[in-house]
Amino acid sequence: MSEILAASNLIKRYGAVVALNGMTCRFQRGKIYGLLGPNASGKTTFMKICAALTMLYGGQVLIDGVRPGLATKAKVAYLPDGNYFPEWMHVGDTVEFFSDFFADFDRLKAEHLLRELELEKSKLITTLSKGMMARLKLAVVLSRRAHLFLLDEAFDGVDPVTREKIIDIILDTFDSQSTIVLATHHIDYVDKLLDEVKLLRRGEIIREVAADEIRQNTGKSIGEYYLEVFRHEKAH
Amino acid sequence: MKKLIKWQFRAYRSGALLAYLALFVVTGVAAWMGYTLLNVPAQLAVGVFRILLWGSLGGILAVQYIPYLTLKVEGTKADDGTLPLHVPLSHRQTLLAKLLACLPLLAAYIALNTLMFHALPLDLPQLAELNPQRAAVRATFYILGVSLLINALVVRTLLRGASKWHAANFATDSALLICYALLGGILIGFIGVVGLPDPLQAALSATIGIALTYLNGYLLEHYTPQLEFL
Repeated sequence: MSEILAASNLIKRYGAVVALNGMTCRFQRGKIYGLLGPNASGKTTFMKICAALTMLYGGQVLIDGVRPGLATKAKVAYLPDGNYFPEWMHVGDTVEFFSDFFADFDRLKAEHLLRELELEKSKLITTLSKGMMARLKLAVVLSRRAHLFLLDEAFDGVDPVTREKIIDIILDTFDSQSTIVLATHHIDYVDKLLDEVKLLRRGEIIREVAADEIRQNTGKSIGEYYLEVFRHEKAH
Repeated sequence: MKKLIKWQFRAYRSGALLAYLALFVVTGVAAWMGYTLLNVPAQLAVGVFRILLWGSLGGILAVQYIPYLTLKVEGTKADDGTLPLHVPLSHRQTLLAKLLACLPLLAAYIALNTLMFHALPLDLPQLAELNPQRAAVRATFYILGVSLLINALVVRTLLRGASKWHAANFATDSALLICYALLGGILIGFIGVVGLPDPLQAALSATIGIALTYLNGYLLEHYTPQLEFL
C-alpha cells in the first residue's frame, strides 16, 4: 500500500498562536482516516496546507511526492468547514463550475448525488439551509475522482437520515486507490467509516491507532476511546 | 482561459455587483436628466457624475477582487466566496481573466463619457471627447491602475498577521494606501506628461500593467498566506 500524504515536522504559527507544532504523520492509499482533536488542535490548518490554501509554513508536506500547489489541487478534493461558494451561484452552477475546472469531476455521479440528496439545481446558494449546504458541498466534492479527499466537518448540520445516506454513499463509492481524511467532532457518526484514527492536540499528533485495534483491544467505540484519551490528557 | 473568463462574467450576477452596475447606469441618466430637465448647472452635473462613476467602478473592482484575495471582510466567514482558490489554475491566469472581465466596464465608461460629451455643453473643461487613441490610453491606464491596486492588496495580505495590534495594522494599511496612491499617481502622471505619443503611452502602461499582474500572480502562488484563519 503506497503513501499518498506525508507531513514531517509541520509548523504553522498565526502571530503568537501556534496552530501546528511539529506535526508528523503519514497517510496510505485506500484508507479512511479520522483526524480527531478538540477545537484549535490544528485540524483545519493541516487540511488547508494540504489543499494548497495556506502556503507559508515550516516543515514539509508531500502529496504523491509533490509539495502542495497547483499540481496537487488537481488531485486533492477539499471540503471546507465554511461556505466557499459565491452567493450568486445556483446549485446547478456549482456542478458546472466543478465540471469546468476539475478534470476528474464525474458529472453523472454529481447529478445522481443531487437527486439522492434532494437538491434542486435551480435553488440559489443563499436560500439553502445549513444542512442543505453541507449536502451540496458533499455532493460536488464526492463527485470528483480525486486521489485524496480532505473533509473538514463534513457532517455539520446534516440530519441523521441524510448522514446515514451520505455514509453509505461514501462506502459504496470509495475507491481503493484514493484516501479520505475526515476531520470531525461527530466521532460516533463516522465510527463505521474509519480505518485509522489520528489524534491531534495542540498541533501535534499524540496517537495513531487502527480503528479495528481500538474496537478489538479495548472493546470501545472510537468516540469512547477519544474521550478517554483526552480526559487523560487533560488530567495531566 | 475561456472558462475562466466565462465565470468572471457570470460573477456579474452577484447582488453587490448588480447594485454597483445599477449605480453606474443611474448616475449617467441622472446627470443627464438633472442637466436637461432640472436645469442643474452642467459643471455640477459632470462633477457628480464623475465622482459617482468612479465610486461605482471602484466598488465593482473591490467586489471582484477582495473575496479572491481573501482579505478578511467584516461579517464574512473565512471561506466565503473563495471557490476559485480551490481550482488547479494559476493565479496569474485568474488575475488576467479578472482584468479582461473588467474591461467591458471601461468600455461602458468611455461610452457614457462620449454620450455626456454630446448631451452637455462642449466648453466644459472636465469633459472631453475621447478619440480612439485616447480611449486606448485610458484603457491601459486602467489596467495599470488595477494591477497596482492588486499589488497593494497582495502586499497587504503578505503583511497581515505581522502584528496582532489593530493600531499597527491600521498604520500599515494607511502607509500602504499612501505609498501606492503616490506610486500610481507618479507612474501614470509620468507616462502622461513625458510627452510620448498616445500609442506609445498605451503600450508602455499596458506592458507595465500586465507585468505587474503576472508578478501579483507569482506572489500569490508562492508567498501569500491565502486562507490564513484559525
